[in-house]
Amino acid sequence: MNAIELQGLRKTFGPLVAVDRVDLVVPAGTFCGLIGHNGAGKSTTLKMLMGLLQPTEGSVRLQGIDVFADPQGARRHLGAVPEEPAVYEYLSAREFLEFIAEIREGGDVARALEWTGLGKAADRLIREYSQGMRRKTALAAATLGDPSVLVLDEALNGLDPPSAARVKGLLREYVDSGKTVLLSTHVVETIQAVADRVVMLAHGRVVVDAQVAEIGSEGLEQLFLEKLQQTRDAEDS
Amino acid sequence: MANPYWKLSRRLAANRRVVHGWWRESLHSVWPLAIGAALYPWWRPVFLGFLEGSPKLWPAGTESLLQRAAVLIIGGLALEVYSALIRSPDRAVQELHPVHPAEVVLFELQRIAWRRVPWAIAISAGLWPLIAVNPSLGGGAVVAVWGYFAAGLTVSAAVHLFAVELADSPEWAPFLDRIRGVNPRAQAAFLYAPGAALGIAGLAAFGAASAVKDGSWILLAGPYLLAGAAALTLRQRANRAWFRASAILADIDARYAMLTLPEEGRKVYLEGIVKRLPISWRPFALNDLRRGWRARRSWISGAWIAGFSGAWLTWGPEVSDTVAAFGWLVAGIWGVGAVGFVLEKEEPYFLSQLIPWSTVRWASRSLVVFLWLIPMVVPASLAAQRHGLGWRFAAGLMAISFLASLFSAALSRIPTALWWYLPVAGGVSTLFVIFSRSPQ
Repeated sequence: MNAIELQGLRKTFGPLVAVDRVDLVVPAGTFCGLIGHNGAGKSTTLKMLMGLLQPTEGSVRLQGIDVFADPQGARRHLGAVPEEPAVYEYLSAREFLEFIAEIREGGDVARALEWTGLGKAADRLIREYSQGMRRKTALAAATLGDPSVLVLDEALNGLDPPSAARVKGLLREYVDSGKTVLLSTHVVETIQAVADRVVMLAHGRVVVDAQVAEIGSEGLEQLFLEKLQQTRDAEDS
Repeated sequence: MANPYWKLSRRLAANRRVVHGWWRESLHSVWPLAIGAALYPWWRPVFLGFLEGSPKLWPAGTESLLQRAAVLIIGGLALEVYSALIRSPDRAVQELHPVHPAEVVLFELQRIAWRRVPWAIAISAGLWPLIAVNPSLGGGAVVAVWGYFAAGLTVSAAVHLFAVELADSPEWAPFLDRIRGVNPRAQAAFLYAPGAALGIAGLAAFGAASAVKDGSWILLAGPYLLAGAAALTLRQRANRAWFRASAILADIDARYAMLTLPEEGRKVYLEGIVKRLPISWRPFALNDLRRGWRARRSWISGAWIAGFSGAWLTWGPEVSDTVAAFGWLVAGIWGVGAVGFVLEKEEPYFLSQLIPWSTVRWASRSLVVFLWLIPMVVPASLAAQRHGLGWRFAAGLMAISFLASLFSAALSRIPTALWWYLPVAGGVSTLFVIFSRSPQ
């Protein structure tokens, strides 16, 4: 079964076309990287995928479930970290994860805390956390209940290098266990290190959809820059 | 299993008490009681003045009192329900997870009921003088008040959840386009929802008020029946609308962001006055004028409308009513004066760190707040002149506005100062009414 299906996805805000007829099918067990320049439409696409923004046209399915027709059903399969994750300032990471585990009706809090690598800080209030620690907490919350699809918007931003490396490893393990990860970033190296597949957006459209192995480790950055230049040229002309 | 939302709420409250101290957290609960006690001398003369007249006038006086209580209770609850069900800060955390919308809505309504039940208790207690002299009339009024509370809560919830369905409904799009003004289409549904809730629940509430007057007690059940009917629809509406609201709100916010961009280039009200100020005052005054007007324009202009309406209402022949209405105006002046606190709270962090607080900043902020208050005071001063209340009254209003501006600007730097400002505001307003009445 396909974990993620976007069909003819389009989002406009008045005259501004943020996402323009994006089609994307991600089979289960895939680590898919989404890259693009600032304003390419990555976050808007992911917000629609998370059910947080209604598309102007098109449909979004997670594990075959329409995200907008059955929001609760779709969210049972989804773990998500938005671009600016929201947390409760006056809870500790442990208390926050316990609450999320309750509303997801299950989840191994101890294991999720291992993901965060917060150690003793897990019992301090989140209001004392750095941006990176908050993001790790949100990431751990997204994994509670073992959702089959993880959608992460710039989830590795603000993480210190050892934490980022550990999280990348854990995400890879997650995918190897048959689950699906869609990670948006503009760090090409991250995609090269962990992703099976790369989707590149430019000006709201998919301009590259390929296997990372086919492109090669050095080709990805070059391809990114070429495509970016091509879309700029097309815009100028 | 315990309700996770109540558990969360208790945990958050406990952690806040640890961080800020139990006394500061308890102020939220103590505060309404303190305000109630401060305003108590006003209660009987302003609201139960009809008890001094003939007993024949009591039913009509009670009806009028209940109508005002209905507007206050239902209107207040409608706004609160909007904040809790639609724009709750908890939504950003919960919308990512498979929550049960009906449970979330039920919890939010219980929480509002718990938080706001002092309103109904205070109004019921305030009816004691009426109960003492006419138990049947007073008892009926208390039953009506609790009906308003129940209807205000459930009808507001049903209407706001229905508004979510309306917001992106293609059938309603042409209608919403007609009433939305410059707002995004979907926002029109939310803009009018509190008014619609007030209208629907208000009809039953006014029916109950008239039932108390006429002794036709059956109509007293109206608000309760309406509350029950609305409650029955909530589960289904919550399941249909709660998640959908997130997507609609994100769309509204994105469209607002596009709408507000041209605002940056526009001059704001009173901007021209800045060049007449001393040079050292100008950047601070301009900063406050722009930020305050752009972020709180509806607050400031709404207060002016209230000032004009108050003056218009007091244009009549009764001087005693006029003085009471002006008492409220003074309270309003202090309310708008609190915009000084808002300016400080919304000051960008880096700016407050970069530029130290100074007398010049305080003076310019006081001036800005005072200038915003002037259009509220002028119509009232004209109405006062018409009633022959003399220049002293107008000068008093002006002096109070000036004091409010100085106080709010000075105290705005202190995080807990709003708690001091409000009792001072209540005290000054009370003194003003007493002082103004003495020469009559």
